[in-house]
Amino acid sequence: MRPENKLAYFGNEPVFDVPRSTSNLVQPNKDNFLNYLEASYKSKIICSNGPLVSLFEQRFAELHGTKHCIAVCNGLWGLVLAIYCLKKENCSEIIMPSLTYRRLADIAAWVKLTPFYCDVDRISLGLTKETVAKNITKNTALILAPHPIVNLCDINGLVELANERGLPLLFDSVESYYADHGGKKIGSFGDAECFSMHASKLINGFEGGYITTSNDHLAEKLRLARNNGIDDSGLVKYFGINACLTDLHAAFGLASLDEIDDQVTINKERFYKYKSMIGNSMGLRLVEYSTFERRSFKNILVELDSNWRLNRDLTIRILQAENMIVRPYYSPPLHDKETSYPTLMGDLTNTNELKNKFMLLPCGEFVSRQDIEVIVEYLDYINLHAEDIISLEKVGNKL
Amino acid sequence: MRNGQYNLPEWDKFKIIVDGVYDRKYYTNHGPLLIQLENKLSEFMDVQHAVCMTNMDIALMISLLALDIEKKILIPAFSSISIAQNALWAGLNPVYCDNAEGQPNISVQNLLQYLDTDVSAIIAVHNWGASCDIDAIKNLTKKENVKLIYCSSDVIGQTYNGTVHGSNGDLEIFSFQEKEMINGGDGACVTTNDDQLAARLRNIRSSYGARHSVKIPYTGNGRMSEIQAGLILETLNSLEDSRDKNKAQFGWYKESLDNLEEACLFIPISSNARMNFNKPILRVNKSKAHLVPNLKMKLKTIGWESKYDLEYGVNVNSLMPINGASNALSLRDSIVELPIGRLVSKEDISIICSIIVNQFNTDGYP
Repeated sequence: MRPENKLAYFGNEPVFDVPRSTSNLVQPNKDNFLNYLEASYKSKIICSNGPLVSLFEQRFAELHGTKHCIAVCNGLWGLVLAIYCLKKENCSEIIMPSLTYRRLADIAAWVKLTPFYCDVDRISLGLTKETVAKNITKNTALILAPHPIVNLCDINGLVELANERGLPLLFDSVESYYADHGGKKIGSFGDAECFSMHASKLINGFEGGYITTSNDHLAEKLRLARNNGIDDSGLVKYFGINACLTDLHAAFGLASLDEIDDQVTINKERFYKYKSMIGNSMGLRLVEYSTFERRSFKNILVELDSNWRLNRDLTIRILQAENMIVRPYYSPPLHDKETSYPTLMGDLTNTNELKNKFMLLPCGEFVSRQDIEVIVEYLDYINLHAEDIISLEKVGNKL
Repeated sequence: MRNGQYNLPEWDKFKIIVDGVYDRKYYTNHGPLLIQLENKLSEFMDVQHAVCMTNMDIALMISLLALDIEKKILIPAFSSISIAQNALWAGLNPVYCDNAEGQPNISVQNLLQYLDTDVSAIIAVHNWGASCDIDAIKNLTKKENVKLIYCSSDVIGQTYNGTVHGSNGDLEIFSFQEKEMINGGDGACVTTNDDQLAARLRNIRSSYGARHSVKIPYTGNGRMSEIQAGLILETLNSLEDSRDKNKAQFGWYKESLDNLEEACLFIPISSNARMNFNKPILRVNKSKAHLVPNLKMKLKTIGWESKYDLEYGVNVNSLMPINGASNALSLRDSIVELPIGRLVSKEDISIICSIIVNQFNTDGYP
């Protein structure tokens, strides 16, 4: 069938009536959620860092193999507080990648630090000791290392570098919940790690987040900071904001946590279904998960290589018209965005080479094995008919 | 016994809210309940825009960013520490401004004293159900061309000169923390009639629900979840019932304490037909203020707690100087906030009043 008769981009009906997105949107068992919440709800006190939040923190500290977990209202403010508590005094720069979460530089702005963008590794898409080391200056206050999607950044190298240079190291591990590294759980590296429970993530808490650390002093500061600096006796001992997690979200997160192993099993089935389908696809490379360490298999990341005949933006527009909510990988990179605050950057050769090559395919609760067959079929179709699509696009034959 | 409303719908009603969320499979990112809530609040407060957020602190920080102000901001000395902190997070220099003697709200005379060319905004708090002198502050801010934010949790649904709170100043902020009249676990709402300001608030809060894109300094996650929105809608529906319960409890306090010569309940002067009655404050005469610490100690033995001693900005001179806050300090030392709400019984109130009456009858001696 010709593209103008098949593709929704040219005015036909989309193949999916309900969007298939890249958001997880997992729904934990309702009775389990209500069981967690019932006692605190009936006590009428649901936002006071009470017993349910304590249970939440204990369970997630166990998951990540750390002494402490500090629950917060969402991942962004968790990062803000963690950076505030960790940063070196009288230093003004924060090292981070450019090819990452679009709000990471804004987080630095809240803490009044200047983002210093570093390059990423070609294979992992994350920071390495080498990409960071050459950009450390006397003004470096902290290294902020987000794990990229699918792979992990150079944890051992960054820990070594941070120790050598006496710098705080904070991991943003939003996309690496379930992962292990060298037999240890993600969550237990660096000075601290931050996580989000936004509904799109592996753990659905509606909203919410948490910080893990085994540093007692840091944990104490974070607990104060998330409570306007106020301690248990009511005295103001530190600086902070209200970033408390409500029991409503803690209960949902706990219920999600109870099902995490089952969820990962289903994620794995989805991933291997994609792998079996994409294996023969021209121009697409599925970014693989490690098979010898634990991974969540949640995200589906593909690279468009030289055999892919359309540009990424047009590819995504065509697929989105079919209600396949395919997303470009962290686009645009932070160094390409206009900001109201100053930024610095080092050499970004890999970032610039990679920035238009990757995209995320639909995954999560709403995506079935049959959906995956359709999605890959459409990917193959549009690559095969690329010339016709480009011609139609040029003459503006979009209805 | 805790200070605060803690209004929650019955468990069975809450389960119905949960059923709806599960059926729709929408958890956050400006969902249907959030949209419904914002529309309802906008109508309730007769204001163009109601922008719901994660909590009061984040709402205030995002509001300060949206207003695009710099340098100094005048804040009430008699206010929660969070206001000073939020202003500092937003890159501003907060300066304490005292209240009028014996009154909880910011004084217009004192505002005049501190206003200079570096002041770009004022935050005023309507405390204890008493509205600030809105007309006088409006004239002042108009004349001096400074922005104005009201923190209006205590007066939600109340009126000032016949107009419901929500459209005064450049914006108003209402908290839905569990201690307030409306309960979302936590949460807040920013109201304004300024279209451009509302657009900036939405764009800073999240890309979801932003409507159209406008230029902003930077973003901050201020999202409210569907379950919070559902809970707030339900407690908003029962606001009148909450007021009635508060009024009854307030009446019990008044009945027992009306004959005291040394102290009296603070009754906000207002033409409101419907008051929230959510903050019964015992004001002790100056001559007997020395009895207050002992009274508080006795009340603590039965589980009473106070926030005014500890977390109020006027106490924290490590953050900023408290020069010119003598009225706030003297007010703090001469008041006892009495518990009211769902976690307080008639018997609790009776015990509290007995302790108070006895304290003054015996002049503090056992």
